Amino acid sequence: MTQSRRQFLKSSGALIISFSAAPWNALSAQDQGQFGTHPSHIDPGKLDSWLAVGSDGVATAYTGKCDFGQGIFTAQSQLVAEELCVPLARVKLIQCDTSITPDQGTTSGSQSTPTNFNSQSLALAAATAREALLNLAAKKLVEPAEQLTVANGVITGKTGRAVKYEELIGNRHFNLSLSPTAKRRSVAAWTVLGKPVPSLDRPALMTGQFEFVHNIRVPGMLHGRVVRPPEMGATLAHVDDQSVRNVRGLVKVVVRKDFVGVVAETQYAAAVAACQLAVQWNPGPELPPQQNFFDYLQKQPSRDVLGVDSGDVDAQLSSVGSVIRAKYTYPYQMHGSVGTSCAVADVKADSATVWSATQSAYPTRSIIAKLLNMPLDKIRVIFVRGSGCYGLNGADAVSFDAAILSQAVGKPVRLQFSRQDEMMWENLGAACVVEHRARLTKDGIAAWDREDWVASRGSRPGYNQPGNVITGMLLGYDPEPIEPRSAKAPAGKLRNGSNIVPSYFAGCVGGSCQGDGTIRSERALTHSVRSPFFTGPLRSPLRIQNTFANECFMDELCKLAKADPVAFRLQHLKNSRVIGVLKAAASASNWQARPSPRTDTSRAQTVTGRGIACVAYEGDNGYAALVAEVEVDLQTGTVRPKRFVAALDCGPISNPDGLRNQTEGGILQGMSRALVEEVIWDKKRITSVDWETYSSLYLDYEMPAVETVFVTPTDVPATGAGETAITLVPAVIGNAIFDATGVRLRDLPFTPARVKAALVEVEHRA
Amino acid sequence: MQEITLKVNGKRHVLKIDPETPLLFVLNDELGLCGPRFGCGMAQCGACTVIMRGQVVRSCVMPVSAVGQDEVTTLEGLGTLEQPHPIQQAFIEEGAAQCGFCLSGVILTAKATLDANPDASDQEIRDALGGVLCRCFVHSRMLRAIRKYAETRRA
Amino acid sequence: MRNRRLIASCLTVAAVTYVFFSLRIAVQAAGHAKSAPDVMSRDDAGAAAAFEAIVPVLHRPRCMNCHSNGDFPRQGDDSHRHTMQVHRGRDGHGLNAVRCSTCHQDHNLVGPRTPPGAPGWHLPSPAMPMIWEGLTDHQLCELFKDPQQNGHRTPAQIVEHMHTPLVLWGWSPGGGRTPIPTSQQEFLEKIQEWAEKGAACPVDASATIIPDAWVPIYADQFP
Repeated sequence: MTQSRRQFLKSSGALIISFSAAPWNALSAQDQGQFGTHPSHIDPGKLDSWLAVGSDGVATAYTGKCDFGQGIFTAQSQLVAEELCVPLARVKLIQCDTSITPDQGTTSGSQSTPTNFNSQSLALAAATAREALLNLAAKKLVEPAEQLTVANGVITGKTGRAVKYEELIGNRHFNLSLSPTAKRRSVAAWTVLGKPVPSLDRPALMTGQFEFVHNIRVPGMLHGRVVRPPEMGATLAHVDDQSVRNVRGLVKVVVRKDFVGVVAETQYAAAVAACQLAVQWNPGPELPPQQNFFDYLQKQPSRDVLGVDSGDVDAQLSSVGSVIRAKYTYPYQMHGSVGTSCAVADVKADSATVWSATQSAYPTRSIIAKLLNMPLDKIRVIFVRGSGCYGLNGADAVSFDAAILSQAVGKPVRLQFSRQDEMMWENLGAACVVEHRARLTKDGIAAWDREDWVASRGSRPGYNQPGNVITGMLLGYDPEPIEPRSAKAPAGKLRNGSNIVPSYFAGCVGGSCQGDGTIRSERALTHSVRSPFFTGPLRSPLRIQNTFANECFMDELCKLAKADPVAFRLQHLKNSRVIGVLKAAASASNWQARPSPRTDTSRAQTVTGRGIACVAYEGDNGYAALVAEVEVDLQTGTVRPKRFVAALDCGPISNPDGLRNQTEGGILQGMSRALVEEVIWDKKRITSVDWETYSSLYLDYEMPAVETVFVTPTDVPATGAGETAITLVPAVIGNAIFDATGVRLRDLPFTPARVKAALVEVEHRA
Repeated sequence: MQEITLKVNGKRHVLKIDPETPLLFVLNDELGLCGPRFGCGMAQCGACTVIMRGQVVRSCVMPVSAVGQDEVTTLEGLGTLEQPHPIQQAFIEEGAAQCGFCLSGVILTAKATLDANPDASDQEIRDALGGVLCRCFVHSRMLRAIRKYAETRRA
Repeated sequence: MRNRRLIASCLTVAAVTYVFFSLRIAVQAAGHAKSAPDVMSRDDAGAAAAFEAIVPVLHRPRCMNCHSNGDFPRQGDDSHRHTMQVHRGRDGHGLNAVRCSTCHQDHNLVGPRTPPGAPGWHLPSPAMPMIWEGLTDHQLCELFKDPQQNGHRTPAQIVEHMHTPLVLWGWSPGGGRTPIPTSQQEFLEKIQEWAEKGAACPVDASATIIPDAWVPIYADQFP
């Protein structure tokens, strides 16, 4: 099944490329990007690495950014169609295959759009190709390139003579580098990009034809299941092979250090064997109790980082004026993919192919090479969509597990996690506790200090950290360590990738103020603390936790100032794009200026309220504001959002239908996380192991109305957008609950029990 | 091992299989069908949903031996790329999917509910979906698509 | 006049006697493997005591979860409302296309947290919902006996019903569910004894007894 790029391209009718033996060159080293991507055998500086035109006029594009349901397969296809001026139907996009696509690191972090839709990588390649084709046509038609027009893969001269792409280049290399001066087509001229093209996967999805990684079948394929420890930190004592000898179809029990798995001829036999296998484990340590976990976090040694520090907050916060403080907590949460993770690995003596839903094809390849002790260039990882992951779910771990099983039996193995495997060993969304304090004077917020503690263990494995996920740990690797270290003074530029710096801070670092706000007396400090459980990026990682605290505390300051939440925010903002979305959301929701909480409620059983919040995602990667209207049942503590109004500015939009889908989905997913989602554990293990023990809203939940307004400046780069709206949801719901009831909730999720307890407490104090 | 005959999407299959094998594994592995999917193996999410005798069945917990003579319809049995079923067409038009993993649960439950009760209220439709999970939270589009389909049925 | 009344009385007595004996024959005929209750050895105190003895079983969650208020079943030892919005429906087998058999098989499944199963898994139909929740022992017994509410069953047929796999499942519920702690054999003997001794009902003490094994239903746990 392993195909070289040469063979693959031959069969697809596109160019034949010959590779040099030496993959490393200066250009690809420079192209190391955000996630420290490594140079690979496919030189991202060369046009032929990104695009090919076949003799049939089909443009094949190669991308390292893959689609797991967020819509970038369609958007990237539109991009290529637009920049290369070919019909969408004649674009063939190949995603994340380490034999044939460039290494673009990980598809995540709202980075796909900034990376591939601006002026580098795929966008630049398509523009370079168009210009190259124009130059070729100019020579052929003997006319200046400026006189030529291009549409639908055909270049026409002033004289009316035309030439098709395939006549110019069909099946041949461009042999060019990406041109840094190649010009993108202007947004105003777009005919395909920027249009609400229906996502190309829909017909196949709705008719049950779509092949997920779960549907990959390889001749001779066997089925595997892992057998995980019963608790965190448990180590393997003994495996009794004999306990499964009666399972018909069992092929092998595989043990390697603390890794245990079974391989069988059928999926059912593998599941039975995994259940039945008698394994003894040495117990792990007792876990810190959940009851006072956040207090525990705050007492641990930590690696500290200052985002910003004006040096005077302590003094400022002890002088005249009202000082308030508040502490917010955010629980561990799960990615909770509907489908458990799955991979198919075909490991032979001298090569391996792994079909994987990983977001990080090249890093996964690198880890697999390490774990199998095989040469890197003999491993091929092919991305095939899995269940929506929302960050690092089990997709990487299951790929490693499948590879190990396949190597152990010398046959292809399909491995899928059980629901408990998936949930108990998640790289969870991090638990955080955030403390804010600020001083208010008659002129506004005079000083603001915030400090957070983040529980962290592992994360994405990257190219060489297998211990960052469960499989690596079982094989004896440690997670990336957290070395305690006190914070250095911030230098250079303001880094707000985790949104620890609220939008209202001036963000002065290295002599210039690069933040979005006006408050000069400012400090933002973060402590990374060792987590008892694995953690990893979960949609809007750390940004959602920090923004929850930032925007709720801002609301608390509004209350102290007796100010309208919109007006008070505007008073402390200077970034025009944040101001733009804030105003747009307020206007679209018909926001009536008044302080919170509302005073016009009768003590009816159900009260309503509204909340607002805004953010610059990661400081500069998308801007959003969100308004929520909620209903609170004072008797049961049930919170029901009735309406959300979002304003989003992500620069030029590649596909407004896709963007609307992502924004709505993000808001509703955020609502589930804000209202019901929380990981539970006991003395020894996570007890959230299925949908009865980890709550999620189901499809019967009465959905609020969701309106989205897009603010679209065109003279700015395109930013990410998949994680922007969700970032604001817990904050706006918290703010709306406050507006409705006068009760401030600072601990997520806002379950009826928590809301009720807070209401009762306030009544007792009154 | 037992010889079992199954009728799936209008075709008859004779299989030699462990009778306790969940129907889902048979559909995926023996018959190569993609529609029903493994989400939990405990009937908690609906990703494995198929239609039998006019009702929905969670194929991850049904032993294949319990199917008997009943015809099994999977998502791909409703309609094809060239000729999608009207409910599939409604979902396509409303763009009611993101990753798409949950679709068997959503589409088949909605379809079977409206077959059993063409005048099912919004509340009844939502209740029927009370055990179906979509973690991408495409809920609003999905309910719009179902309403659209319900209206085309009535016409 | 007097003669007519006398004749009428005789006819009435004859009719009643006839009905009485036919009933007895019918009852005897209805008894299958179990011996038919012999209404002639009626023992009200004994029957009442036998019923009292099985009341704690009827109050266990394994029984109460399907014999509780509302158009939905309960689940778990804490008898919380069955998740996923399942309903009794028009026939006790679920609503529209989501039926009990959508998930419940005819036997318990291997594996953690899988749905329990027994042949014919379903709720009583809404016409005769057999809701035991909130009833005193006397009321419960009367409900048991009332053919208009118990699925048109005689006491003998009630005994039969108690031998069906769905009821007996309560003692082998599988999957970490607490089985009924009282001996199954003892339960079956007691219910038989109740029927044989004439199926009289216990007289209530002053207050309604809330069994300790069953807690009141709390508000819907989902927002």
